Amino acid sequence: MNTSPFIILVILSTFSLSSLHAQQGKKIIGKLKTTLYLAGNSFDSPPFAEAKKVSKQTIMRMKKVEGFDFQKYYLLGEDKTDIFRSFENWALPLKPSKVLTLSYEPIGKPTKNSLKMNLDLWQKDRKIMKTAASKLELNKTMYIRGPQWKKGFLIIAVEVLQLN
Amino acid sequence: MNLTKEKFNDWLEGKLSKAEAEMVESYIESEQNVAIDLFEETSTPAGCAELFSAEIQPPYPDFFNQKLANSIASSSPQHERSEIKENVVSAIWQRLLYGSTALAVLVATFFVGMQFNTQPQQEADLVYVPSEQVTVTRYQTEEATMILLDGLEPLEGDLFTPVSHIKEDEQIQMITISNNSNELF
Repeated sequence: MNTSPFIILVILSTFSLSSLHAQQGKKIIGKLKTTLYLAGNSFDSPPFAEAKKVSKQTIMRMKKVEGFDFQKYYLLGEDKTDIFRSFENWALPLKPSKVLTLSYEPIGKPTKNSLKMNLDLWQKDRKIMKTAASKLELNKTMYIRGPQWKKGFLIIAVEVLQLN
Repeated sequence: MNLTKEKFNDWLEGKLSKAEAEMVESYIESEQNVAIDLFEETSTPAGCAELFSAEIQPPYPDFFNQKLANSIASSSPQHERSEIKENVVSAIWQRLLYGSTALAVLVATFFVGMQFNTQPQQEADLVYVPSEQVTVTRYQTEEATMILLDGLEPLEGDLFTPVSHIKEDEQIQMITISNNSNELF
């Protein structure tokens, strides 16, 4: 029996399915907001001119938790990025600086109001934290208190803005 | 004397009587050429036959059979040709059917695999840090998840210092997380 047509058919179908899978991987399934704050007790002035005030709601939310309770908060920068279904994504909350960055990759399908993701937090060229399949919900922020800087702590806030 | 092949053979095989044998021998001595011819006629084919097997298979029998079948088909009447054509069409459809079935199985397996891959993962909330000097404390509230990383190397200087490239730390270690949601209040 001549099996050549069958083999060609299988190869073509495999390529087609792979292409379909790759296309699905590029699908945007949501939007992520990554914000960088500076919090401390002994600041006389903002760390730099572009630093902004933080909303009272955010301050109250952080003050509830020991370790996040400080007298002064500054918003240093934020980044809103797409969440691709099967690709590693990067957020640079202090563009163009890469001193503190976040890489993230969704795990599985998002539900109506939540998504599981692997999060990697980077300090310069070192990975300082990694979470596995963290559940991120709409309107529920994840705050990570990171390294010290200028008598304060850098805090990274990760929030899913929308899910498609 | 008329020496026949049969009598010569009988003499060779020692079946003749002594008198007959003497007569044959005297004839052979006088007519040696006739004896040689008789000997070659009777013994040589039998000797040759022993050297070859009874049946020799032609090389590539399938090839010759196929050629023969094609030749018969080309010289056969019209209705026989149509039967052959129908057989060929049937064989093609059969192969397509096999191919379609295999393709369907492949597609089904692929999508089953995709479904399995996209099934909700097991509940997990692990945090890994690169050094034992770094401790992690995790709080969970209704509004937020709070993670404290203590023991990190402080950042010095300008936050906008360029970074050449990012590489993954090879010595990531898993640590136990204490869920301190009750410590909030």
